[in-house]
Amino acid sequence: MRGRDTFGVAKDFLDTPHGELGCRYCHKGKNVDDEEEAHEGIIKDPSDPQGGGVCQECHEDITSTYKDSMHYNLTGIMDIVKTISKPHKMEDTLLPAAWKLDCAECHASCGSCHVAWPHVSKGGLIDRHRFQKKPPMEKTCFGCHGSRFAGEYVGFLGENADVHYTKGQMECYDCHKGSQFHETKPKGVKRYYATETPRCEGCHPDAVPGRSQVPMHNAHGKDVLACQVCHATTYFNCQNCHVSLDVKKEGEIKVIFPSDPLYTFKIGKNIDIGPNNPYKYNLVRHSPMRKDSLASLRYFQAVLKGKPGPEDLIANWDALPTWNSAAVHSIQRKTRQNQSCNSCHGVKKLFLTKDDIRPEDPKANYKVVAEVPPKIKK
Amino acid sequence: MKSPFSKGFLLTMLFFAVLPALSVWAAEEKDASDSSQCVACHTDLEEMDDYGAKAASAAAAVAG
Repeated sequence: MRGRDTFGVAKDFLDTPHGELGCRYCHKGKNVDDEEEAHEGIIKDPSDPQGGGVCQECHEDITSTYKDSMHYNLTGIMDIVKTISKPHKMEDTLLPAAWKLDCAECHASCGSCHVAWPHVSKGGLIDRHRFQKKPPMEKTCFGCHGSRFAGEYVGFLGENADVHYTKGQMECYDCHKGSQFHETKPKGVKRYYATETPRCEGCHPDAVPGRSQVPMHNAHGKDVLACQVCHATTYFNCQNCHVSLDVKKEGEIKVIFPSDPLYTFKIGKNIDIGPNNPYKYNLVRHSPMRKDSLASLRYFQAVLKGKPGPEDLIANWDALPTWNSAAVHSIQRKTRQNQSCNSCHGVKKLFLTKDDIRPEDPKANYKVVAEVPPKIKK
Repeated sequence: MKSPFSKGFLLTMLFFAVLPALSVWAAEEKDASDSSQCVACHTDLEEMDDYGAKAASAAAAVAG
């Protein structure tokens, strides 16, 4: 990327309300010719601190809720890390440092959507510092969600692009409203599927079981199947990602590369039923995690602190599944599994079964295993 | 007894005494918010290309 695309500022930006404030109002630094001195004390992302930074001065109505939102504080990931590392205390390990260096790279400030590329995409201005009221999907959303949601939505990953993209030409914001990004509801939830998210029936009220002209919709009843179970196609899963170093043997460091990507389609039991995720069966996706994903931290802790960290850092590994409810974005009206009753009933490969659970997987995965429904006799 | 200095005279003196201080304060304020040098550099796109190239080469050196 050219330097101008990363650091260049448009002259017309200076005539906008944000531009009229002057660079140093937000970014500090010094107004001098010398490059080094000019950047002394510079604040690269003044919108980041406390979920709003300098933006709070004018946009308090948004920042007051954004600071507690999932996009800012990554509650879901933090909760997983805390849970699987019990009974260890985070502060006794390198987890807080790893969080800061790696996990927290995914958190979004106001600026990482409305001004620049997300931190995890290594930043840079989106459009010469012009503020984006509606951030561009392909730079902002895809910058963080490119490996799965965005990839399958536009058809880079999996069998096909989502019909809402190909035929509807819909952007993320057509379903996911700004208010949902700026405020996570209900308060205190720890997983995205427990939050108030777009519902298919909002646009397709005639698809709701019991009110539908489609016999299959009515046959399954309310809150039994998530829409994707019938209307999504094969999707991408990560199995061994986030693995860098294997240090099981003292003095021996083995670099492990991620395995081949796993494209699959698995219907699993929903173990997180709630008002915003009411279905008995969901599609499930494997998370990019395995038991030794964080093993390298023990090695680094030994180097940095002179004493290795806990050998069983992920002591509570079995508590959470690695197959989790997934909002797959590869929707089609007609799919392989919705052709007829027996396109799905009795078709074992569509379901997460015991055979899909690897010996090294957490025991909690067995809770997600679904029973294959028997074939329908005509 | 009437003061040897009229009220108008005193106000004029005060004004001229405070004026330099006011202008120094105004200059400091201007400096605190002035971004003219930042603007001059960051709106010069060729300059930013050079800066980007330097930043990239510095990063490459770190990465080996």
